[in-house]
Amino acid sequence: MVKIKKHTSYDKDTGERYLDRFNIDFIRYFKPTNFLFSILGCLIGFLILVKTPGLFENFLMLDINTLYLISFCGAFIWFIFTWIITGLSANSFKKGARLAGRRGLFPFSIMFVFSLIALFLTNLINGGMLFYLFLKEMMITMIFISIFVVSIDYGVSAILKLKR
Amino acid sequence: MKSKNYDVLSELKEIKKKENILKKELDYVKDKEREILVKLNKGKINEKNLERRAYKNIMHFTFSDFAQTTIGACVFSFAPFLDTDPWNFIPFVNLKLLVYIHIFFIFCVFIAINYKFRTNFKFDWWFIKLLLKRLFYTYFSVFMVMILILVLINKLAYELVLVDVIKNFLTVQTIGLFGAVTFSFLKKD
Repeated sequence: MVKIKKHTSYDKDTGERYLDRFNIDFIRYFKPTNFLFSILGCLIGFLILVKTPGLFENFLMLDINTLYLISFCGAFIWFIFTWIITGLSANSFKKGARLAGRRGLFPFSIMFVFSLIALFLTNLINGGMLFYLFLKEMMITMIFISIFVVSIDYGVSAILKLKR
Repeated sequence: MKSKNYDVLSELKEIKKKENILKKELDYVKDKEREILVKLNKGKINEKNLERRAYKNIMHFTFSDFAQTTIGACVFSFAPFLDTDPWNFIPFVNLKLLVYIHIFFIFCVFIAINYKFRTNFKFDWWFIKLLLKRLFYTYFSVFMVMILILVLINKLAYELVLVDVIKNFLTVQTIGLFGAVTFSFLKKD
């Protein structure tokens, strides 16, 4: 009979211990390294988006409803993916949904704030422009950046955690 | 000689009697002291328990906290639905002033949340970290509600200029935060 190894997770902030089926510490906690990885992902994504000729303009040609659909579907698929992982590990899909949602909130906020600052600094958005255009540019930036943030933040931290 | 011996013995008896009385009094004082110490320890333990309870409550932002926050934000931001007057003068208010007021309100909310969980404002990095996390959750909950409300009353429309949208958002978000904190003081039990 195969014996399943369980992983004990310790929360330093609250002093609580959790017994997981496998290691999901990279989803359970958002550490300063995750914050740095998120910023790094934002920076790489934004530089590629702005420096590649014609990329931003091509995205701007898209309809706003298409952008809504892309962002909603992307976020939903990613949430479901992390939810399945956390749900299986924590042995409860209710707890899993809470963990996945909470973990996704931090990179989302970082991406939002970063996009806002970066677009203002590069003069792509200004106070006098229409809200429609602002929304479009913000969504384009966030969709593109999220590819890098998700892969670097979740992926690298997971690999580092598993290697340890 | 005999009478002298008798006197000494009687004096010794009296001294012994007095000694016994003193010993009894001493025992009584010691008992009282022990009782007082026990009471003091109990008080200290209660204080520690209260602190621990406060720390335990701040750790998790539960669904009831979320509900209180969103309901508070909704109730307090109901005024802009009914009264159209504020919307007429918001475009003339300086954006910087609104930003300063918003930051001031965030600071006030931070202090209010602190006093919801403990009775002092001691600098404890661990507690401050949890407090900041809770502030972030509160802010985000109110943010979601306010975006919905602004869309409903057509103050977040596509044809608006970005500055006006930011002004509308900052105004309603500030009111919403105020409501959220007020409602979060309602007791759960």
